[in-house]
Amino acid sequence: MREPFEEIVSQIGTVVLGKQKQIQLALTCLLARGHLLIEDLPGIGKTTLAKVLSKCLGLRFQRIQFTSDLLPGDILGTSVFDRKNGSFIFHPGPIFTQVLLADEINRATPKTQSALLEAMEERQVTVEGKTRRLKEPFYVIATQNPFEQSGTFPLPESQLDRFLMRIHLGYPGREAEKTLLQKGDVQQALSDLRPFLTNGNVMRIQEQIAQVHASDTLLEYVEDLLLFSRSAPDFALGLSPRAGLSILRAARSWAFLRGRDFVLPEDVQKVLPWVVAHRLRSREDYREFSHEKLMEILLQVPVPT
Amino acid sequence: MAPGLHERTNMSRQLRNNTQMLRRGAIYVLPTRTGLVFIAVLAAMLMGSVNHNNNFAFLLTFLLAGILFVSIFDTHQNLTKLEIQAITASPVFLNRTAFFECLIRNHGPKRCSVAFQFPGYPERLLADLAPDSIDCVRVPLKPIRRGVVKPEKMRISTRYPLGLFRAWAFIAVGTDCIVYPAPAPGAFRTDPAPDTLGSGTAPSKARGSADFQGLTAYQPGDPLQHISWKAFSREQGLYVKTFADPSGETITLDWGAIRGAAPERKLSRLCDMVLKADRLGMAYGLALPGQRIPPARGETHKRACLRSLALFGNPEAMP
Amino acid sequence: MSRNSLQQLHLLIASLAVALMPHAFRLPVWVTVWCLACWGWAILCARRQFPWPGAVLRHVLAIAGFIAALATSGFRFDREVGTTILVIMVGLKPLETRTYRDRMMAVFLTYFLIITNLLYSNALIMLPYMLSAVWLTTAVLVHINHPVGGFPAHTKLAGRMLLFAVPLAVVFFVLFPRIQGSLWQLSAGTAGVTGFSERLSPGSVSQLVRNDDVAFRVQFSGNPPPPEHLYWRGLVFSEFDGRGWRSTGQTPVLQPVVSGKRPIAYTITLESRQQRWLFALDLPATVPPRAIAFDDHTLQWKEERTRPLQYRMSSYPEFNTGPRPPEVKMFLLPGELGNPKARQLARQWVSSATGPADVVSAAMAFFRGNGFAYTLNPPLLGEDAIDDFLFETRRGYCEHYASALAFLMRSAGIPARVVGGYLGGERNPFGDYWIVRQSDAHAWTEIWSSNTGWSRIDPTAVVAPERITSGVAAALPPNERAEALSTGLKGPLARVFRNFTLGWDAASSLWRRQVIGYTALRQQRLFSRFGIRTRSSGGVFRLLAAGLLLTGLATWLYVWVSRGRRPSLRDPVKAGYQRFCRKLARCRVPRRPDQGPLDYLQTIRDLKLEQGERAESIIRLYVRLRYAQRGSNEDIRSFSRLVREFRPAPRPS
Repeated sequence: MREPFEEIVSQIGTVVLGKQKQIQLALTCLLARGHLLIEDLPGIGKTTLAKVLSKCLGLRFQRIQFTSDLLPGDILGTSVFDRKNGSFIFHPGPIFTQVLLADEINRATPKTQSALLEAMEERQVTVEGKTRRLKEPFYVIATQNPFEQSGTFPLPESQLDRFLMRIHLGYPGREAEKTLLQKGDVQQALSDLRPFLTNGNVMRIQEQIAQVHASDTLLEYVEDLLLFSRSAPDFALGLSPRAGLSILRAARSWAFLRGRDFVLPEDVQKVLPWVVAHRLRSREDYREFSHEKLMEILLQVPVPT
Repeated sequence: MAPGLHERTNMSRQLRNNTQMLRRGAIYVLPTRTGLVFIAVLAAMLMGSVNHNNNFAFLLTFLLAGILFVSIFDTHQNLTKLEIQAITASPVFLNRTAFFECLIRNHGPKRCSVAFQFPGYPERLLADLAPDSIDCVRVPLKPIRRGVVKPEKMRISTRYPLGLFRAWAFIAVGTDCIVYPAPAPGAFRTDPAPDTLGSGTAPSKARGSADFQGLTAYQPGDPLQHISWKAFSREQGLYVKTFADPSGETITLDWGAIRGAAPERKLSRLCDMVLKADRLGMAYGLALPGQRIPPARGETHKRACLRSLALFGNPEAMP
Repeated sequence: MSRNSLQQLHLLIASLAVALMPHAFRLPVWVTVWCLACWGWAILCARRQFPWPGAVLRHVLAIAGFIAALATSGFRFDREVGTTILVIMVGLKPLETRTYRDRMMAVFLTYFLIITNLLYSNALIMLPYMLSAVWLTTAVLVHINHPVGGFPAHTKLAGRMLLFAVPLAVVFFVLFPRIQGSLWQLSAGTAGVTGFSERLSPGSVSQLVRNDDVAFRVQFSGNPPPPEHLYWRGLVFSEFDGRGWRSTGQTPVLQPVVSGKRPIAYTITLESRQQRWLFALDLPATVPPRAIAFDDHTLQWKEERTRPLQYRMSSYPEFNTGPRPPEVKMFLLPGELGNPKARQLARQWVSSATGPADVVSAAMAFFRGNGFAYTLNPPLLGEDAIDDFLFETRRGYCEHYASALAFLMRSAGIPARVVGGYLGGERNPFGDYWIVRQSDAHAWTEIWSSNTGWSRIDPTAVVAPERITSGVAAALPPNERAEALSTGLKGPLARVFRNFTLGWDAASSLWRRQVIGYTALRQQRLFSRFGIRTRSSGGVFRLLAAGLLLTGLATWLYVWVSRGRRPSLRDPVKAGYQRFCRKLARCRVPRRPDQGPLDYLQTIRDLKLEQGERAESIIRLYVRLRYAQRGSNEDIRSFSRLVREFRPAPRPS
């Protein structure tokens, strides 16, 4: 892996134990200018991962716990009447940050969810008719409980499309669990971390990633995947063009982290399940596929020579 | 086995059922109406050439005839070796346009202006298709009844390059499209009259014993005690707290409860209610004569309900 | 209006403008203005959202245009009016091109406009014009049917279609039955109106020298005769009016009496219009059909002639017109008119001569010995022109000499007359034919003797022998040469230009003979060469078969050329990698279709193949060429070489 990402991954690995793959994917996602959705049970370390990531990348961090009475204004900010000046003053919400952790996003009402998701998409906020741009870099790491629990509003498919990747953390392995118990205090490990990058660095890396070369043959492969997903009888709906771009962006980032300045079909295959699993549903029962099943279907598409 | 061959067999394993290659023999070519006009113009030119005994005019006339002749082959070739790999169609509500999505693979040279259409419906143009590439065309069809719509054939035609000849071929579609009843709007939330809601239960939305569900914007008529004064004090506007009780009362949308309407109208009303209940995040069930779907929530459930509404009283094999 | 339809409108107007261009030079100016105004209007409507004219306004405009066209011609309906009305429609057409159908009709109108141009001119220059106009119009037609594609691509396609339509057109052209015409009628071309007049006076020939127009072209069936025999006989002037000679009083005959040896066969394509005289090599032995022969061995076209004409002739370079004495008028001189010195001289020769031959040689000796000069700009002559010329100025052009000699002969009692025509010509090496220009105009004398009949005496041959062997320019004094040269250019460019004009003239004449002059007669002759007789049903059958065969051949060629090639065959990297994978697959190391190159490399490594390093270097190179898209042609070549030389050992099963 390319310097200094090797080190970043291993650093995060000291806090979030036994999740090398997920850490790499999360890093890939953020460096590709993508928002990340982490889906898992509470207490698995979603929040820790988000915190550690932002700290290592040297980014400002904000966290919002989503609840059913959370209103759009609580995220975006509100204008409050100032009696001294006799005018409204805008109080920016927590969204004006660099990394926003939206915890348990499916607990908020659809209205609040869409306020956040629109801000993610447009990278700007409109409050009371006035539009404010969010400063780059801006990432949203949202977490969500996987099951349709009571009092939750699952994100609709169209909104899910706005997350570049969705990852699952899963329970830590036996080894990791043991280490975790030995270490005890995660907060201590967190505070020991030091940032590896700065704001400017992150922006520059993003630019470099956008320059990573995707040859015609590779584009052809991605196109084949898209078209296949639209025609294969397994899927209720095919991948959207936006999904195609997402695959490409993630693959670029992945290739970059591996020290290459061009994308290979292998890069596409590596990131593919994380990028498309939340965008595809089964035609039969309209459920999501497991990654294994998904790859079994999608790897029918031959790599162009 | 050679990888190239292996690749292709593997790739088309899923697609083979629907794959149709346009072959030379299955493509017909005839002059278009403008083509006939052009032939008439050529005939006039020939008459003029004979009349003036002008060899130069003969030459031009024959040159144009040559171009006309050559264009027949170009038009024909614009369709050969096109492969229709798969046709899919998403369910659609009645009175809306259904789109049959076709995946087209080009095994030949570059194609231009290939039109896809169901006879009697507007055509969809595939403007350009590079050699050895794939593209998707969504061919519209407006269903005239709910249920399963199974168009027999689709016409693929082209007038390229000169518009003087039209080549066309029919392909069997083999895909069906489920057409839901058209939702008929009516009272549901604001007027929970017994004739729209089965089992006599009102939506559990308004009554307060259940779990707090979230906030919705205030509409005149909402009970004042449910207004979220906390949000109002933060100058965020008027919101109403809504509650849901998933463990308690659920609603069942009942065919029998809608009285005095034709069956199709009843289906439309039920369809509308399913959509509304889904939008409000309610748990709902569906009761049709001889068919009952237990209450549930979610996309899968919604689709199941709509599907049974669509197919109600109709055998699968509807034309 | 969308960008697409705006572009279509522009292209339509462009093709219409090209189709209209030649007409603009012959139609009234207002018609061109009308078209430009209408087109400008259409473009304004399309660009600036001006309201489009409604159907009523368009019809009113059309009717107004038709009336104006008829009024211009004085309410006479002829071809000009027809063309004008067509052009008026062409002008209006872009104002109604909003639907696909309208645009298609506009294109058909353009084709029609192109063909009307050909009714006016058959010149070779119209061929490239016609081809490019058809090309452009066809490209516009493609564009209308596929507006989203780029116009350059459409131009390319139209060009390809045109290329394949040409052989088909030629097949149709050759095989299409023509209606029998008696002579090869050629429609109007660029032709001089100037030429000989019916009266020959001093200066009337030298005037023509400055005219470079082509009088006629000649193609000899065998070897061309030597330059001293290239006398092209046109008119005979037999009546002297004291100053000049008139061509009058010929008697038509069925076949003039002439005998000779070794006839020369040739074909003349006569360019100059409005004269009924036909030119032929001295002395014509045959009479072309639909021509009248006269007793003075001149030929005339039977009817009024407005177009160029082609006829086959044969002539005797050495001839005898027989012992029949000429008419009395050949002896006559208007007695009351002057030139006493000349008459005196002639009488002097007669008295000292033993026969007519002596008189002739005396006259020639007189011209040779007395400092006569050949010039384009002779001094003005007085009342007694012959005397003035013979004894005072002694400078003149061929008509001076011919006229003076004939006068002297008649004064000596020998029947004599002046013949007008051309001498020499220029051989065109590109087409192996001769061009005779107006500047080759010449006049000479004929005298009669009882044993040979009429024979040619050319006094110019004595005064300026270069005129006969090398042409006008060589015979003239150096300061006058420029006047007679066909181009004013000098130096190496002049030669290039000369060659170009000669080449063009050759192509042009070929065009006229082979294409424009392809008639029923020729068609039959061509068919019969292949053993096809159009009269018999078997012949027609064979003709049809030939047509089908040729058309089928062209079609097959077209389909073969335009069928798509698989890019894999063209892409050496793709082909090479596929070949590499095939080789490994034969050794039981197949690549799974979903395997990218690095995954495949890992498979190969895991299997620890003998040729593992080679395979690795091939895959690395492939990755660089295919995915990094770096690498030169050299790399592609070495990749192909590596793959070719790759010989993996089979893996034990």
